[in-house]
Amino acid sequence: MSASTSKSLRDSLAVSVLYGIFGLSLALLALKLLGGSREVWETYYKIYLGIAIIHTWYVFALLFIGDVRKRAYPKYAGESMAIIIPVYNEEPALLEASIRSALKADGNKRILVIDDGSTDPGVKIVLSSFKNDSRVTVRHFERNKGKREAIHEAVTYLLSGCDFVVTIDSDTIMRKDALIRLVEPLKTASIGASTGDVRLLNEHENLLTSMIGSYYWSALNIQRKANSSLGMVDCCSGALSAYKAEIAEYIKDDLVSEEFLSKKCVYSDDRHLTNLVLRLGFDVVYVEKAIAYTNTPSTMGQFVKQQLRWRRGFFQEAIFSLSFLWKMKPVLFIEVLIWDLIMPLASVGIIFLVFANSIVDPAFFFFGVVPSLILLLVVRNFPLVYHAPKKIPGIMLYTFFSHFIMYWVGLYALFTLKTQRWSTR
Amino acid sequence: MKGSKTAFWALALAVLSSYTYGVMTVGTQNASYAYAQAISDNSEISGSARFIEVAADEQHNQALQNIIDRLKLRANEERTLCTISENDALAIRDSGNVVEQRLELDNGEMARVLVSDDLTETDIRNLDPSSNCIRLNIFERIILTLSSRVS
Repeated sequence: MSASTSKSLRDSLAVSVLYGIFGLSLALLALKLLGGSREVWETYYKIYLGIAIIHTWYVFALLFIGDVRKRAYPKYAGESMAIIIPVYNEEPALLEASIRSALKADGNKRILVIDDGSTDPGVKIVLSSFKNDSRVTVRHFERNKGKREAIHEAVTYLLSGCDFVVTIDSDTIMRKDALIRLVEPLKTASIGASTGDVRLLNEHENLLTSMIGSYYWSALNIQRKANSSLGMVDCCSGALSAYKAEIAEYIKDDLVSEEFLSKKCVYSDDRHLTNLVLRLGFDVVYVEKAIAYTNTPSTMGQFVKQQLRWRRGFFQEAIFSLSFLWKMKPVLFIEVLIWDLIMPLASVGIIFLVFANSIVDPAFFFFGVVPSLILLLVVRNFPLVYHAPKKIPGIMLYTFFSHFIMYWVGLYALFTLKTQRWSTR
Repeated sequence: MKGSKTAFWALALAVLSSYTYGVMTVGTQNASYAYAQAISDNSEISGSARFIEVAADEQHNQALQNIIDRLKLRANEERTLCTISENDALAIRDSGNVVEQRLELDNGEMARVLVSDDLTETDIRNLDPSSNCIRLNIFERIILTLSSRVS
């Protein structure tokens, strides 16, 4: 049996197990509604609550470890960096601002722009304006091949002599010291990749972007920061990440050859790159002082499409990571297995019941669900409540949005894992 | 700066501990409510009083709480019928806005249940016709209604 077939079988088995957990949860709900054993439902509910509480303590314990055992990194001393910017039909003004911010940023660097088959004439005009700048190299693809191919091209043909590779999005605007802060951890032998604090350029555009801004703060400065304390960040953001150059060269072919359920993977390039670094046994860290800004979708439709794409990639990469995390990062293995994969599916019965009761019974929603979610929000996002209180309204909205809309988007993503629509940028 | 960090972690510990305690307590409480409800689903008819009248002022809340406590105790210990004694009902009557709901029991007998007029038709339909107990989740709702009125 070929390695590819074997992997496909493993993927199918993993997805089937996830579907099975989902079905089991619904079966327990049906049993409850049909008057079945009360003890079974109670046990199920208590296990759910218990895991939720344990996970909350776990995140805070990691944050505490990171706080009392702060990592100290060697200072940047002029090492060379290659900044890779894959571009596909980006808004020209943003693209220009992004390249200029990279040029202005501190550090010994050159910029590699890969135009991934853009058809927008504005993009071509912007890129041609840099043709006389020796610090910027531009390469064009005849057709759109996807971000993975663009990164592969840059690493393969344009990287020689660099110490570090930095990948950013074509709308990333970075602070002046972002690059050097980002690569400093890579001077430590055990660290293979790092990622920074990505904030929103358009956070104040409307209610949705304000909500997403708060969610980003929480995801980065709570979850990612917590994982960073043990060097086990599971996703280096595509908007601002750095890798040791020799590691990037070593893993570049795996980036473009990945398959899931016998289909070539084209999304979640950032998660896969991170996984490939973790698989080699290196630590991956979050650097909160490396700050960059990027745009987020400002309409609900665009945001849901983006999340659908991210969540498909999330499931695909979470399953892939289980194959090596158990020996490389056992703590992260347990987190991914139980919290990321099993819990969202095992809780569908409970969430469905809450959801249905909230619709048919507004009193239940206002007196039961709302106070519970607010309590959950305050506890799980306590660092945000304490350090960034202005973001409380946004995270409050996101908590409801997440439970009542994004949860179902996540389930839809799981059941359409093979779909490749919306899979390019 | 160090003091601020200590304050943060002290507060975080307090919040986490309270949350854990609260979830464990409420979770257990809900479980016993559900248990009493399941008992009432399978109960038979009792000859004792079978109605509840909901009070609307603070002094009656304690009486309601006593009833719930007794229901839970009985459900847990005796695993038999959970009923409300006439004395309990007398202790909390004289309340004002109540409606009476008559339920036909399995044996043809009529049970009389007085419930708050804030409850919906759905709530009333949820009263178990095979028992002479108000389901405890309805009780929780009554308590909520009372709390909001009193405050």
